[in-house]
Amino acid sequence: MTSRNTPEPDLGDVLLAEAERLEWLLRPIPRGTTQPDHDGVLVFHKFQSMNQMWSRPGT
Amino acid sequence: MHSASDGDSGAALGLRPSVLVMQPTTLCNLDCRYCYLPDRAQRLNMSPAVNRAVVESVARWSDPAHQMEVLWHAGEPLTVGVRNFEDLLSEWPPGIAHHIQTNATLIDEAWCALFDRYHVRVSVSIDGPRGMNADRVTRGGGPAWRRIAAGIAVLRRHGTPFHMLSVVRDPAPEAARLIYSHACAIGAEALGILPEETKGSHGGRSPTGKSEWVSFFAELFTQWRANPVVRLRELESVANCYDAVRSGITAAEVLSMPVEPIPTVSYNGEVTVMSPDLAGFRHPRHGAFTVGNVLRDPLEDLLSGAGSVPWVREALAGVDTCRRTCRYAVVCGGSWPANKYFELGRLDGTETNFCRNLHQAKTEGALLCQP
Repeated sequence: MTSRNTPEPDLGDVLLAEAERLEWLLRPIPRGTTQPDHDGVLVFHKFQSMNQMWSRPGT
Repeated sequence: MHSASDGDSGAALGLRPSVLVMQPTTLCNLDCRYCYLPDRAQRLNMSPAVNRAVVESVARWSDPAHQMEVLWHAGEPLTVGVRNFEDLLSEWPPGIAHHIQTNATLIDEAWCALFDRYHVRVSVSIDGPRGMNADRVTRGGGPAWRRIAAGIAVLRRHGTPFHMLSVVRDPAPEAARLIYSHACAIGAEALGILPEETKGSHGGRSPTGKSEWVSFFAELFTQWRANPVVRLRELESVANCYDAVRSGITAAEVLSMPVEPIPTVSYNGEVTVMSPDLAGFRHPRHGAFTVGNVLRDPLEDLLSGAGSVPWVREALAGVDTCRRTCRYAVVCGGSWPANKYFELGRLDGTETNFCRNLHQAKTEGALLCQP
């Protein structure tokens, strides 16, 4: 992710730099069947239910 | 998702919603002090004709490959009564997942049986243990806690699974511990957190800042990691974002994602998009936050034309600016026009307290957790 108007580090870089810590934190979440790919669609709204976290067209 | 753009803004509204909000009534039997709904003291129920018009549209765009959920929400849906609610539900085709957001005070065995028959997934609004529900009061001003707890007890006795949605004003770490502990104690399947918002008829504002919310979420996630028995919506959305980044999602891909339309159908058939919290409100220049009415035009036509409605165009411009300028766009998507409008006074604004206290704070809170 590239942010243009902020001197803060790129959020994607920050998340990747903390991958080990995040993997530990998120380990109990059953993400095995919800791994994203480039067809994945992020769903953003407060009414998202748990099974909407990743919705893929055509699945 | 198919999408339609007005041509002026880079962000486009999706045409195939993943969630559709139905507002079966304006009435709520409670009068919570932080509630933003303007007509919650009036009983204005959705007519069968409005429900049928939506069902017919959904049936036309029905596609087994496209999952869509219907959320019954605002005021208190259960005030319409079991029989009337079943009349609404029975019109819907099978295969649609129905959700309901309720204060639980009216839940009895008949409601549980209805939830079973139609596989309705229940989410209960409860802010935490008893002492954290002081703002949740009846129309007479008395505490609603006992009635909420009684409704949850019926759900549990009946074996009906439910989620818990907690509005938080004071994000002390102790509050995070109490809320998570309570979610575990009442047997909730999942927990969602909403910082109290400045919105609609609720002009109050939590005096807390982002750093306190970061600490709150760090503590909540730490509690969960030690005992991960209740799913946390906010942590799973961080996981969603992290997985996207790990998969190599680019800024261009985020920019090109259609904006979730979240069509929201009011009791009278008026349709709002992008944010259910705008339903029933008016913009001083644009007028009512509506894109039309399902009694006059099919819902799919309203969604197709929504991108050219001036207030929607302005909101989409705000999404576009957020996505282009904010490092957190991959977390929140840049939409949330109700928070922008009620906090900043404009739909094309960008960062709000709600952004800082929820989207930014939950991400930074996750980064503070450690083994």
